[in-house]
Amino acid sequence: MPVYEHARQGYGIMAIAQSNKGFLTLFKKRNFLRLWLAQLISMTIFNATNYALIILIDSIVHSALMIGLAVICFSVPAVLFGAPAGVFVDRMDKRRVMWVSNCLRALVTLVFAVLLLANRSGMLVLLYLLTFITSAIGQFFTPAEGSAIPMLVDEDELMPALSLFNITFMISQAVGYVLLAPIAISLLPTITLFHIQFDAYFQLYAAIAFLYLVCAGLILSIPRSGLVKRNENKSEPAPDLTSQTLGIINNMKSEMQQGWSFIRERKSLLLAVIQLSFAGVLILVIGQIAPSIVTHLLLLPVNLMALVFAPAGVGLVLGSIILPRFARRLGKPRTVLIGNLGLVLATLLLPCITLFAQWINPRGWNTGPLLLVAIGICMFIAGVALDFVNIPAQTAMQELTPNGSKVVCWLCN
Amino acid sequence: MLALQLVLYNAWSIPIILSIGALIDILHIDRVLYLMSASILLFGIWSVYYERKHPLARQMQSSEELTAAAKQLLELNQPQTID
Repeated sequence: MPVYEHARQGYGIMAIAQSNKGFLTLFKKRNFLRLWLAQLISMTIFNATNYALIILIDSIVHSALMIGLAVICFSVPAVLFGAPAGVFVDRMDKRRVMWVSNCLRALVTLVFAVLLLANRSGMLVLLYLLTFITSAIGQFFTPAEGSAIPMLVDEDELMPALSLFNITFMISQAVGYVLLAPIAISLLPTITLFHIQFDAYFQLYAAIAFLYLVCAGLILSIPRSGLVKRNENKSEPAPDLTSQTLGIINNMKSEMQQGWSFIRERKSLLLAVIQLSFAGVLILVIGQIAPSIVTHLLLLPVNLMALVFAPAGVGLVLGSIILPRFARRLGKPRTVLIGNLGLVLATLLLPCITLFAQWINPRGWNTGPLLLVAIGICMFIAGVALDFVNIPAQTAMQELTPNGSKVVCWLCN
Repeated sequence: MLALQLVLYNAWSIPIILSIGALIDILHIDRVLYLMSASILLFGIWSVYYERKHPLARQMQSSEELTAAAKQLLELNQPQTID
């Protein structure tokens, strides 16, 4: 899931914060502004669809297993298609890749919306498939946009431009997950036209399909001449796309094997990889269990799921800012242990708090604001605790990996 | 290395997510939260045990060892990279 995926790289925030001087200059460049708006809109609505999908699946089947499948559908394409899509995009016209990928996502989202008009429980497999396809198409947009940025800004503006790209990534997650989707699902009324009911989910997905088209329009409004590679050396013939993609896949396979034997021999590195994966899986699991916490534990409407997501997200971001100071004093093993204990505390407190609330006020136990605040604090602790596991493990992994020192230096600056 | 970590993490995430989903459906969320809490605690204890058994210092006994390994890995990668 992108929101969690990016949160795992939380400590890029400090680097981002240092280079926010040139944003206004960047916004004055019309073509860059159009590209940025396309990124902001497309990423926000992509995150909103992921949130809406979780709630939709919960409303159809009330099954955490099926929600887990949905989480897998929108998170796995990043790994399956991320690298080959990068190779493909590198050889293609970036402008075309961006507008075509947005048009395709608009089409798939529209089909998704139309399917919602039918018997939803019978359409589950198709809904999963369309989610997978949308996420897979998105893997082509992001690298195309990333490589289009240097074509639209001057060399000295590249750093703030890339920082803005990362900040927008995070803002889009917050707006998509915490604001857009929950508010739209709560407030959009069900409309009946020609004996067909168009509920909030249909309207949200239809609006998202339209917004993908807006993104395609924004990209098309950038002149073709504006997106030309600088210092392009056309005299060197590049290998054809198929052989290059196959080469990259084979290269990845052999690198994986070499990497695995390298890790196995270095126990600290193996531990760091396991801890990092553990934190990543936990982030996905929080996304999966959030509807169950809201509906089955707190007995509240599923759309209040943002109450669970938001404090955890705030905790992740704040944790990544404050952690480096603590981590240096405590050392890696203690920091990770504190993180694990924080996670134990948060997961243990969640059911205990509800039991306590039921004991104090058996009738209206789940409507009291104190309970929601306590749940929010638990999720905040979970977010911060995840950083305590995630960041030291990631730092250790980079320190113990060849060429990792460069990355660590960049993170320290 | 990051790519390998991502592959491992995704490979692990699928069975874990599915089994946690199934457990929530069968046992109810509160029991699964207790189970998760116990699992995280066990993982934390195992991490400390593993860290003490294989301290970082032993891994980085000499910077030469790491540099040599890095060079070896880079040499292995060099011919297969397509620019």
